[in-house]
Amino acid sequence: MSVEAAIATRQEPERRPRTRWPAWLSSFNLPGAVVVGLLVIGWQAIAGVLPAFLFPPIQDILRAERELLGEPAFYATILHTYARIIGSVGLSFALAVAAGIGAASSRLVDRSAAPLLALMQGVPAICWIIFAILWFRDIEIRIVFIVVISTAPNFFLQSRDAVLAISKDLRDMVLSWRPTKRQVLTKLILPSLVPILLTTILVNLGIATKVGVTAELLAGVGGIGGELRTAEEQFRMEMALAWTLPLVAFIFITGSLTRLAEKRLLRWRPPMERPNE
Amino acid sequence: MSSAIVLDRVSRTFKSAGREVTAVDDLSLAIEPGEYVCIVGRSGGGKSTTVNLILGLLAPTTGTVRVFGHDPARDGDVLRGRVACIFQSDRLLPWRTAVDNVRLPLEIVGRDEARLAVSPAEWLSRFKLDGFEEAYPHELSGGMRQRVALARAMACDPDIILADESFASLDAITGEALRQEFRDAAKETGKTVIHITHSIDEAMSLADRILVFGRPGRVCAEHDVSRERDGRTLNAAALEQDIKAVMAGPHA
Repeated sequence: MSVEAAIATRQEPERRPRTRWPAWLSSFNLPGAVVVGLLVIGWQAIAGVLPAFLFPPIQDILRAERELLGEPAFYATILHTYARIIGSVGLSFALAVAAGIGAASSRLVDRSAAPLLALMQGVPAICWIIFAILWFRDIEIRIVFIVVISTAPNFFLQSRDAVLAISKDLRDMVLSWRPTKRQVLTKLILPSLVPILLTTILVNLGIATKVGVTAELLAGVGGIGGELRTAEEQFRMEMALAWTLPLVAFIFITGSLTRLAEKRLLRWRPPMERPNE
Repeated sequence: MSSAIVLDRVSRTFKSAGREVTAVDDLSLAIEPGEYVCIVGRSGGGKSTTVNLILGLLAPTTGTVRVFGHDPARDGDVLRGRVACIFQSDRLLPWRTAVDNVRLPLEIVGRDEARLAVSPAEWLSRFKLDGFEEAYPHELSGGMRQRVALARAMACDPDIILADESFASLDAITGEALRQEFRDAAKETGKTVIHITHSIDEAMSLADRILVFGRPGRVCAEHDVSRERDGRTLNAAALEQDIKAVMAGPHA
């Protein structure tokens, strides 16, 4: 085949002509916005029927949020919770991915990890929270323990399976150059793990937010969970919702950052197309 | 002159579905430096196993394999960068651009790109991939990807290149062009090549020597094509008939 012919066969996805919108508008998720709008309308309708301590009107929630935004302690509290979640997920990532790669490389490690994994997955998160409260005096260790226990199995299994799924063809190609173990790790294994780990980070941040805040609430250890407990004790639903919004914002921001990282790190992937597009 | 590759009474068996399958049986051969040897044979004849034995990806069950006097399965470090393989499929790392794929062996071997006679980009250019250095594999056609694999094999200037049905997946015209480009590059740079192919025509057009493999893997016949070609006594039709007869015979 001539170069010209080869160039001609270079695969460019065929694009349908689209209406030109400004960049910010074309990336706007209109269907998502409609769903949020419907939820707000539905909430407001229910708030008109039920008492405010169950379903406070939107304006009450916004007023409570404005009140919180004016307090410096609010920022310290949410940053504390964010730091707990991110730090714990980071630790879980480092430990479980290393263990997952080890399990993929060694049957002994894989078999040894199996009962631990069953234990971590089989025991409900609420039990781990109780154990952590009883076992650890240090507040931060309680949170880290609970989040690591809850998220590590995902990191472990996904990284283990992703390493095992590396094609023998690619593995043999790299091994044929006689790399060191470190080179196999950096040039083959870690790049292969990136796609699945980005998704797992996203999923685990959601899990960590849920169990971390639950742990804060039950253990009474400050953070957003501690504030939710106070709001619950005072029957202030609008305040509970005002403290919930930073958690939603956290998931939204970390999700957006992960998607940005995906765009940058996975630009080598062919564009995915839905069957009917 | 000592041989580049020596296999001495090599056998290799695998366990499959509870029974032993012999892929290579009592195989002996020697390849001289700079030789272009084609191995032809029917499917299941242990040709790819032979390549894996020479690469050191497999160890022989019995017998010895030596590459420049070293055991490739044990003395990997000594042979690092001296043996390259072009596989049937391109086996490019999808997360690396074309030029970064070509750089892979250089990074593993630890060779300084600035000191190379031919840079990775120049190898791509030589295989007519100018302008595609930064393209990812999914953006290239099958023929282009195989060219990148060829450039990758040449980039770290190995002494030996093993080509395992490297052009089999390409259409006839692309395959023909690539074969000649590869042979020219290998001959110019004095590489020792073992080229595995199902195509007798391909073997006759490229090889200095043709080894015909039988099943399980062993040499059933050998033809010194270069001598016949140089002496203008090469009768292609007769040679093809001979090889076909061996391949269809009771020992193949």
